[in-house]
Amino acid sequence: MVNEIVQGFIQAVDLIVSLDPEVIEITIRTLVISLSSTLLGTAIAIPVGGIISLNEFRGKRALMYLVQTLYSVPTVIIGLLLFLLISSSGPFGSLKLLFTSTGMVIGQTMLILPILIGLTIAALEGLDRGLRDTLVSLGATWSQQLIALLREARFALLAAVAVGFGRAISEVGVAIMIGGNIRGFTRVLTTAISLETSMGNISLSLALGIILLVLALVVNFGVNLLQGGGRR
Amino acid sequence: MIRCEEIGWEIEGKTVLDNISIEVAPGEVFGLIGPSGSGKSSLIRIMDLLVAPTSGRLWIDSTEVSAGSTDLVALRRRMGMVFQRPAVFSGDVYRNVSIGLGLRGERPHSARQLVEDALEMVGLTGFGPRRASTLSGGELQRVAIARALVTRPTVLFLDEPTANLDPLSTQVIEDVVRRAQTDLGTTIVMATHNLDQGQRLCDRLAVMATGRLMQTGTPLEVFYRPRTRQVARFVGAENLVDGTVERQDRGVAFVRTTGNVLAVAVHEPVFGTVTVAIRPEEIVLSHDDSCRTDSPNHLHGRVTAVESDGPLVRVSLDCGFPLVALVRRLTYLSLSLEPGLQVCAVFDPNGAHLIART
Repeated sequence: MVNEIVQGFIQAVDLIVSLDPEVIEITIRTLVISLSSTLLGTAIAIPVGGIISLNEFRGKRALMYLVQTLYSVPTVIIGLLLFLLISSSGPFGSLKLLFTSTGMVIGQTMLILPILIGLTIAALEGLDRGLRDTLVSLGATWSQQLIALLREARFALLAAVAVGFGRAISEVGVAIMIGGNIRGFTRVLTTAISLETSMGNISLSLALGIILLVLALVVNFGVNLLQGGGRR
Repeated sequence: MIRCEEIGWEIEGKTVLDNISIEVAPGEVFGLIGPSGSGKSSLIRIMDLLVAPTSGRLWIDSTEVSAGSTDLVALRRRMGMVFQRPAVFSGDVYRNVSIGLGLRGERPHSARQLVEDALEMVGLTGFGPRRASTLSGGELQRVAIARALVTRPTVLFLDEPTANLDPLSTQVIEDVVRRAQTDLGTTIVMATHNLDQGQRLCDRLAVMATGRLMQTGTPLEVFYRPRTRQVARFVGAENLVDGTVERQDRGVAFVRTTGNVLAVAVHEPVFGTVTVAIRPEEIVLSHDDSCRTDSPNHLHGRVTAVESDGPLVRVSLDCGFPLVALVRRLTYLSLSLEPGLQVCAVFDPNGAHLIART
């Protein structure tokens, strides 16, 4: 086993250094799909989280519990739900999203939305209550309050985006069920790892896994850089 | 300027404010004083339109706020608020002070000048580029006042602005409040539990207790003519002696208490059972042999306790009823005051006040 890990590491370095066209293509597709779903999810989650956090309404607490529960929804459940919606007999079948990268982006967005919404709420609720009172007393409109508070919570929000990206890039259920792991079209690192492992190419799987980890590491490093730079 | 009419506020079935009616005139400094939990901050938050009352009506100038259609943002932009614990936004002092201007779409060039003027007013000239989070509590509170004043509000609300601050910072903030009133003509409503501060700064005071308004008046009226025992106790008239009015003669009521007759100046006829309120600082102590028993308000007393009270000395006496006197340290030393000593306690009829008992 140790030998296979070492071999996998050597193969990963080899695949990266030799710029293996298929690995490069899979890696780029993985990044594009995961970053797209993270951006889309963030664009939806921040205003939704803001609306939930800044308003008092009946059932708010229950809604927050529901959002938190959905953090851990299995990826295959999301995959199955979306499959039923976009398969040719589903209500959105005519959009022909099944086995497409767009379908995978939608699936991953659905997967990470609860995390992004929940962490946005947590980031805003964690701020000093006096900040909002001060903004209101200064005559801020609702949207001005939200923008100012999001700015104050930006580091926590960046961390939330990093968590969302991590969940998106590492999931396999939606990628398999919605993408179908079609070579040259919807294959991403996680589905490729799954396939190679089932075919007994353990070293290649490990190599792809290491590339996946390096990608996650690079993105998190970037987020940390942004956070550090902003705090200075 | 501001009129509250029968304002009430309940949270989760608990009454926080009960039937509060007050009116604040333009340009005056109006103080809300009362112990912690009396509802001062809640009332100030209602007047600043941060929360809506559950009952009653509120007018800002001629605009009734309670009506649902009122543009709250426009009204809030005519007011400013300084909280007990100032909120600190990320970034420098300049950003913290200019936030309200930014919300109003003020152009950066004119905003910069306004911010510099506001910082100068609170004695923080040159502090603009400093990180707000590195400032002391007193400096932060001054930044909060600059943030509220920079928008030139017609009304400034201050919620315990000097609580937990050192005397020097307190003095600076009190000076700023005076300047805001005199130089800018700002109407100021401030909540404070600091009685001296209320007396120093306010044109009128409202005394609150357990969510209710107990008395409104000038500092002189509130501190020297309290209407209830509760107000008297709160404003420091801690000697409250029960008795019955025996007679009145040329503006002086003679009140029979336990073993003594006390003479109290009155401005209107008072009858029946009353409470005589005497501030401790109105009582003069002397050697026991100087007591003239034929004179009113000359009381024989035995010292029961002596303790320091800042630059003064608090002396507790037993005169047939408990009495507390605040005397200068020199008096304390010259009389050799100590528990068990017999002394003479004297007060002027004009230094006491009668509270009718119902």
